[in-house]
Amino acid sequence: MTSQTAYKDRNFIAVIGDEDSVTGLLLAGIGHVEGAKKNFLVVDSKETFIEFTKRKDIAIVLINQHIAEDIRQLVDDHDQAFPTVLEIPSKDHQYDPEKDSVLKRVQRLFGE
Amino acid sequence: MEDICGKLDQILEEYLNLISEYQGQWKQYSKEAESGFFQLAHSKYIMGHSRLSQDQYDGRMQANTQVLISPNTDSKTNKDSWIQFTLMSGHLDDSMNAENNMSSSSLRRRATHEFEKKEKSDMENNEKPLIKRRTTDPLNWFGVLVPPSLRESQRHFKQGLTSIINIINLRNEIINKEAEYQVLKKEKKKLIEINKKEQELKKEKEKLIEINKKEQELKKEKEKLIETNKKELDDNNIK
Repeated sequence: MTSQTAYKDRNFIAVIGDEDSVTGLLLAGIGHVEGAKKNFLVVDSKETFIEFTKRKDIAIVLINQHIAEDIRQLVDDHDQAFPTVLEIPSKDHQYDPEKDSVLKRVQRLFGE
Repeated sequence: MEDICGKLDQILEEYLNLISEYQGQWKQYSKEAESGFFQLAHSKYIMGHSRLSQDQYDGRMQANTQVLISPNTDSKTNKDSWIQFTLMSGHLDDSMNAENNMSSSSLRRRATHEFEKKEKSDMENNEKPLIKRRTTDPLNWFGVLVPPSLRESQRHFKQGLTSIINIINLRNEIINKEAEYQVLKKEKKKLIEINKKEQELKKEKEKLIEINKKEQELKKEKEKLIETNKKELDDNNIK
């Protein structure tokens, strides 16, 4: 139970993506603004990714796959449990299983 | 040994099931996102580009869809294994506060009531300041009368978000299963090595036993030879 209270304030889903992805997800109701702090960003930024991963109230960071590609090193280096980072496809870039980190792991497991 | 092999097979089966489920969820999400983007584009066509862009986002928006994190306890091993996300609609704070103490919720109700009064008459400033939670639908940022396609788009994105949460949960579970698999595999390797060593030892033992046997046989032969030699010597002496 103690661990549960530690996550209590981590509730937000953040998103970094192109305008349509962000608009869509904000329509779904994940947007949250508190003073100068917001949990979404249209189009890429290294600083924002760092900021989101450092914040204590974000549980999940969604990032467009093609944007993650630009800051690949940063995304791959992020190995903490929180916030969880998930790469999502965008309108112009379809979901590519080849780039999926989980499926890569699977290949590695069976490739041995 | 057989026990471990069985366990490995079982885990592998579960693992593959999870992966297939994971891929299914991605397919589901892609479908929803595609429809969502399509409806969004349609709304843009109807409303005009400038009426449906990031400039229309509400600068004071409050999240009405959030997630709850809870550690998942494995029923078999009874230890914290992976993290589970649950999608929550509505304000988390509200529901939590309501759970924490019921009296505050009644107070709040009274307070909101006062707030309405205040709005009407614009007086009674002695009430404590209250934070009004904005529960506006994001749809309203873009106007009061939005095209149905935008509403449709919102529905698809909401569905897509559910898939996203499922994907994340499945991913955590997959990683967890993978770790379990690796541990078992290592154990299996160790067992195989131990078995090998045991068999080698057995072989050596057998060899030693054989050598011992041969030595004893040789000894017997030697004794026999010595005896025959003695006899021959005796015979010679007699002669």
